[in-house]
Amino acid sequence: MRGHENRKSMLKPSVRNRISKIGVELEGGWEKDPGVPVARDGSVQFPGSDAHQNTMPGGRGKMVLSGEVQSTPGDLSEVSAFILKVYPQFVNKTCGLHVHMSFIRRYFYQRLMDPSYQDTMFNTISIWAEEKKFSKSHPIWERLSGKHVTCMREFLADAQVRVGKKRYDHNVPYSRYTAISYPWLQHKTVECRLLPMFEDASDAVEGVLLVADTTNKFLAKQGGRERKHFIDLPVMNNTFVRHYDVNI
Amino acid sequence: MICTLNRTRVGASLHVLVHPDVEDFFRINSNGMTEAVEKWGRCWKSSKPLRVWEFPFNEEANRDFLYTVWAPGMLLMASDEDIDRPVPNISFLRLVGASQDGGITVNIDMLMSRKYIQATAKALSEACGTFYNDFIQDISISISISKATHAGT
Repeated sequence: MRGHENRKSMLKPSVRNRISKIGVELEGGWEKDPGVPVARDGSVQFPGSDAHQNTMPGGRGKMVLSGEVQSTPGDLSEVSAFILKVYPQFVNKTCGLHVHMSFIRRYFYQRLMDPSYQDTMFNTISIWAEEKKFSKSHPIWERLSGKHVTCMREFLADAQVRVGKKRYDHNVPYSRYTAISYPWLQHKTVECRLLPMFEDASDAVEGVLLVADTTNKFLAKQGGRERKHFIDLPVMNNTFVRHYDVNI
Repeated sequence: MICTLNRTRVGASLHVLVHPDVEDFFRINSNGMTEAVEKWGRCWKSSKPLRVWEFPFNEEANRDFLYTVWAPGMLLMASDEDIDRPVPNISFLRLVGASQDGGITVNIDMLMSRKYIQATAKALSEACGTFYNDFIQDISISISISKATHAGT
């Protein structure tokens, strides 16, 4: 009962919204054209001829398309409707649910450039996943381990914000494959890559709401004025004396 | 003299107020010639057009790549094609009017984590000190010449 109340409180927006727009990328396979463009995505893999064997329960027909669909940026209700409308019928552990968030002020963006934001997201989603009682084989646990190859628990924000185009390098200081990524120059967004694709679209909606709420709550705690950092300039009129002794 | 750097709702804000001797140094070296910051880079914004004193490139001073004063308008940790690390960009010392009327505030199109802005302020401080030693500091040299004496055997 207590756990149920905790989950309810996590999902109920309790602080002022600081997110300007939110968007999602859904990876998976579809048994028919979802009505929005499906982009190729090399990380999405359904090996073998029978896609069913690689899906969590949910795929029923034959998969005709696989890859990634992207919502247009909007508010939470628009994104939730998009998820429910185009959710793929086939998903497996290679499929991610990526949440992009833009902010009214750069101030908010910079305050999320903090390793403790990523830690908070890991903790909150872990609690939620436990409450949801996802099975031990559910792909969310691999992502929450911090070692998933496209979702590492590393903080590379200051390098990521300076990358001007999509790069596919792993193990580089600007790799985008971190649980929280900062593609500022490309999208002006903070991206949460921690969620997998779920068997049930309603879990996906719940997960996205949780990411948004965790972000707003984190920002709400970051109040106060930004500290000024002093750049020390040398004291002027300070003659440097050098003395040389020369023996001849 | 005061220079501060902090994060703001538009990115980062750099306030520059230098000693009049620093601006005199650049004014004299430029023969009074100035150039628009926009000519070099577009990351610096201000309510008024920003100009810097011209300062001829000095290969000797730049050989160790400890800092740059030749990157106005660019990020505070500037990248250089020839090296694989960002270099403290202290080109803001060249701003025209940096010693007058309370100094100049520049908004910089740059997002930084808390740790990165601390490290940047520290790197800029050290770079300003190095530049001061390289170019501005008065040096008094005294030489004592003495005749060597040898003890007889």
